[in-house]
Amino acid sequence: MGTNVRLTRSGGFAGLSMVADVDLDSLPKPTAEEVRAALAEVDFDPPARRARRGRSTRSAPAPGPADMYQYDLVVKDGAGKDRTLTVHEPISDPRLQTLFGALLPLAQPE
Amino acid sequence: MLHSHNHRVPLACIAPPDILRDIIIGGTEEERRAAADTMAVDQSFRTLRAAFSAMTASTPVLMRPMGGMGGKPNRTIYDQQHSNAYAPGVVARTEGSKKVKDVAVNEAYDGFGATYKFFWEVLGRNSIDNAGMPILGLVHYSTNYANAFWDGQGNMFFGDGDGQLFIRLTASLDVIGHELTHGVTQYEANLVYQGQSGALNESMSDVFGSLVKQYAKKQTADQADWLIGNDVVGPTLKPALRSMKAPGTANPYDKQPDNMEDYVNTAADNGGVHVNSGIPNHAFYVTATTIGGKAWEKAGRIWYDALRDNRVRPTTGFKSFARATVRQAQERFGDTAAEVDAVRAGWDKVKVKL
Repeated sequence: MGTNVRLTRSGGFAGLSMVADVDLDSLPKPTAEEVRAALAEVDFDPPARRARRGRSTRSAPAPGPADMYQYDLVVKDGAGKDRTLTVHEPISDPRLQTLFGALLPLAQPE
Repeated sequence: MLHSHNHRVPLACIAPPDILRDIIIGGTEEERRAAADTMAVDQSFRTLRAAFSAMTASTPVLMRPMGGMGGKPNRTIYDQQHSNAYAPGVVARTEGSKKVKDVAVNEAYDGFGATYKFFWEVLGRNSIDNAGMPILGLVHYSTNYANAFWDGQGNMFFGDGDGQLFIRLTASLDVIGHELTHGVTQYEANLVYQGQSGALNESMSDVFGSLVKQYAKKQTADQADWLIGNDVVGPTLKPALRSMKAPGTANPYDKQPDNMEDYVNTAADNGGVHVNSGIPNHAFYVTATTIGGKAWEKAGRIWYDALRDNRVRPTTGFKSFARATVRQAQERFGDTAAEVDAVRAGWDKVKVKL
């Protein structure tokens, strides 16, 4: 079974959720490869998340900024182990920038 | 994170205590020390702010410690030239300088001018921090960027739009007023951008964004459209982004509730801050139209006083804020005034129990 990736970009001034929900096998090969390569590099357990562990499953918002985007990523590899990640702008990790850049053109408003 | 312009340590007053506490409990040695320092500064800052507002309440304008004369904005508009960088780009227009060819630059300049004028003339507020803080607009941010945001450090970013969700975001006075109000909120109650306090933060921006537009157009509450973003939505979001008069009806994707029974529980959008803002938005609309006349004169003043109420804290929710509006209406208009009844009617309509 192939990998399914769901990216939700929410928030922004509009508060409109944009969702890309894709099976990597169904994507054009170059896009699939780009997403696979980016996914292999993504840190699904960043320090901020480790720091919060055991206290709350809620993702902490970035303090101060308003109307910036929130990204929720869910990766299902078919082996029953989902990987999830929630991040807020500004996003400094180039691996995430690449991944979101590849997936967002496939997103639809929800 | 982003860069800072002014005298304040940005994290000192914007980091919610619960997050800092999380870091203190679960973070590394270094993170713990930084968070503990920040909490200490945050406490002293809030104490100072309380002392400062008590002082300014009885101090003539000329004697305000940091405010100067007030009455004149200090605007700078930067051209980001489609860069994704958060640092200000090329200076495109400064305070008092002539119109330029770039329409987005002029719209930001004029929109900030109208917003400054509203806060000064109506509420006696001297810019974002009430102490003459420079107003910085960064236009042409990124490529086809269909968003505008406040970065928490004094910068307001505006995209050119993607033509689908939005056209260029500077073309709307309520959008510009919305973003600048995020700054005002940060310097006042500093409402945490999550859950109910976050939805209140969003609602403040819609309320005062709409009032900036109404003030510029000299409209009464009955004449106003109570729409947000109607000047800048593209085909997907037509005819408007949000409606304070009828939340949930502005466009096919509008999911805003208009009362507490329909409050949306979600992890997206920091707990649905742009969705649940429909509830306090509608309470304001009902209050303003019940009072009648120009919405900024009474309803706007009551909401602003509540935002500055020292009992309204960063984690304040709908009910506590609603009580603050009643309290402020009573202080200003008298315990049994019609304005107080109108405020109660507003919260009653959206099923927030006082």
